[in-house]
Amino acid sequence: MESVQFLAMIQAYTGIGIGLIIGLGAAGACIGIGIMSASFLDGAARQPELTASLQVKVFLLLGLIDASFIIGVGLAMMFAFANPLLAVVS
Amino acid sequence: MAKSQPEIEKIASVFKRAAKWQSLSTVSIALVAFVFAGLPGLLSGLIGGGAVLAGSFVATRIARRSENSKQAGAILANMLIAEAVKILVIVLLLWLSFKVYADHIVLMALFSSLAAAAILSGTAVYALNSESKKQG
Repeated sequence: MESVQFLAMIQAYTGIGIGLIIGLGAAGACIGIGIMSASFLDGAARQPELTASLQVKVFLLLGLIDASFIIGVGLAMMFAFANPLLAVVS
Repeated sequence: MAKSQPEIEKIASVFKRAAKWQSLSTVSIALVAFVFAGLPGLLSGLIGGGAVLAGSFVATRIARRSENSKQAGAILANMLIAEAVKILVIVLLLWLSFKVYADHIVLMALFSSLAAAAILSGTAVYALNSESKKQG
């Protein structure tokens, strides 16, 4: 009975953790991408001849901003599908 | 603004260099994991880095559709679609690997290679800057 309670508690807290990892990661990435996209549009409107060179840098920086989110999603999937914390109960 | 042929070649070389760094980091982490954890370690390392590499490849293909576009808004929309598809591909591949291979996965190897490949995708900015310096 006690182990079932432990299991339920671990799963509940893990669920909250997964939500926080994905939610906060997505919020951070979206804020970063929003700021960068606004700056790109601003730069392209001021100097249209620089649009081509800015485009590549924006695409590469999109990947860098998303890197932390992707790592967070990977961690969250690990906790969802292969939770190492459940080993305590078994 | 339409791009000239040398500029397109420069961009392609930058993306190739980023993919080379990502592949090198994935293979080296997978080999280290193979030494410590055997075949499951090697496969886990390859899965983590491979998911990011596959996502980056698909995203680059989509982003290059707006290579000759003149409107900044259209370019931005295309890049955001490419990024969304990249995340979708990575999540799908990771989900598939966790579903199929969950019992044997070596978590440290998988996340080391995933993190290394994800972070190295952004370091292509340095390659771009060095290309620009070479050309003056």
